[in-house]
Amino acid sequence: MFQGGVAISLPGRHAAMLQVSGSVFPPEELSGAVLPPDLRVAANLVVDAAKAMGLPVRFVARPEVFTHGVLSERLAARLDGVRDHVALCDGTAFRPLPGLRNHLFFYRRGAADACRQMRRLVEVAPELFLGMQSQVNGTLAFRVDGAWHRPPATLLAFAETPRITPASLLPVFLHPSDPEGSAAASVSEEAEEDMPALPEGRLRYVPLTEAILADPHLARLLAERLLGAMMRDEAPLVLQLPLLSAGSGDIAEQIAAVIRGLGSTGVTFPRHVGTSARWATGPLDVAMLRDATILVHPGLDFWRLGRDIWRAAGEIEMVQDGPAGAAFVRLFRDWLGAEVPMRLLHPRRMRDHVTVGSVL
Amino acid sequence: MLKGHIDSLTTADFIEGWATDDDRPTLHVEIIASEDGKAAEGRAHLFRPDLADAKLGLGWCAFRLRVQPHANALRRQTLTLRDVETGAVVHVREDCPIRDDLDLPCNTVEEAIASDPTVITSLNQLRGCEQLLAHFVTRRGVGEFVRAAYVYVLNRPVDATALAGYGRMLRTGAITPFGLLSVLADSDEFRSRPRQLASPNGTGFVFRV
Repeated sequence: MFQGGVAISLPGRHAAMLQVSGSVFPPEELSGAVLPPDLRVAANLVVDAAKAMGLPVRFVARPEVFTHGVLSERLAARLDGVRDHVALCDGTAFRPLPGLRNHLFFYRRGAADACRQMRRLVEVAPELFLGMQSQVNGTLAFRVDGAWHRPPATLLAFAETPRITPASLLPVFLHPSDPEGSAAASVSEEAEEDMPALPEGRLRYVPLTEAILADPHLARLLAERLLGAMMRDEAPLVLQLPLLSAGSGDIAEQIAAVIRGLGSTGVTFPRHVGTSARWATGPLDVAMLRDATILVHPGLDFWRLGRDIWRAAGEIEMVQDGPAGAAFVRLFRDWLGAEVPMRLLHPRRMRDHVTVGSVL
Repeated sequence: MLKGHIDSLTTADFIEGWATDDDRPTLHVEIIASEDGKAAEGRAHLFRPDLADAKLGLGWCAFRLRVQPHANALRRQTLTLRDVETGAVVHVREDCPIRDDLDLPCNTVEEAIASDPTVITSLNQLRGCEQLLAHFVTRRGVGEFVRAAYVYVLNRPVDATALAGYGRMLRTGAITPFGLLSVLADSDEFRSRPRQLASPNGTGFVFRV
């Protein structure tokens, strides 16, 4: 996978705000910095993988500076022994380092706007990606001179899901016409105190992202499942709140975003709290997920959850719509590398077609 | 788990090493020489960066103890590092190496502070405490950690805006618990009124649960 040592570069807009000792710095300097949560987890994933292999790790703050000439030689001298470069990419730019084996890590799979930016970058400058050695947990494909290329995947995973705080479970109030009011009701202390215990049954767990909510077919499927859990006391359903690109990290803000996403499907929700449904503020504890069903979508940055969670699951539902979905399913199977039963879902095909008869 | 190591004797008649136990913040240790008996006694509570990097005793478990009769007399003897409280043998060393050293006098306030194991001279000396800080957050919650961090670094209660803001950042992972301490220690408020911060050995270190 990696040899000799690993250099990791950060996206320019985040690197510019860091207070670090120089353009090449050790990973410890990041622990005191404020970083977007998804970038921090991605950086930790690569650092942990390199350290597990006993390799030294260095961060490069501005890789675009070291493209050629004396600067390139200077960087090579400072990265003595390092042969691999992992570019943490937010979708806006990919900056390979000459003389090193470059690996792309597009870490914002869960952000719909970042996925669009990444697609645009690949369309506009596919040549950038030609010399790429591999892509970390990715399925990027691009076309140059009429030929399709898909660099091999480097599969990195946390053994244990990184957590700073244990997840809280919050009751689900869902009034699509008042997302903020519903969110405020969910996070109020009274609501948490009055919350009944989740009923027995195989837990269904959905780690949400902005990209998942932006998929109208999957959003519809989730809304119908949520309705079932609220109205018919079906198997308990826990929706893990998504990180928002433009959000402050506020839980009420995250709940309101999910309500807006699910509310836009047109599904009508009851005006009472759902006994079988919960919001989760972070990854659930492994003990709670034993034998659970976890839903996975190509818009999920699945590597943020460790293998402990995935291997505890009783079943994994994989959303597979279109050729990109098929590539994702293959990647995820390889990444997981364990015998967990999988079931494929096709939300697009599951939509009822509106006919003249049904309208009349 | 009890762990430790005798590193070396020094020409200034000290013995150096480290000792740590997961269940106790600092250890009281003694060195027993095979011929001369007890050669040194004291606490293993000094900071050493390599121990912090190796995640041993939060980095604050080194010792540097004056030996008697003198280092040269001990170098050919078998030296035993023992935990005074339990009597357990932590490490046995034969042919202990001796390194060049100077017993420097402590003449200035800065030197006195630098040699005080109950305060830190740089926040970087807490880098071995990341797991301890994360444990505090898990056990006591994000809000309690932000409150404790304000009292620890800035010596004042946290205001509502900062509590909400830093709480959100900690919950989402935008900042680590150690990162919050760094941000506060780097603030204009702290720089304008700098103060000594307690080390993990000090009673003012509020993050032990």
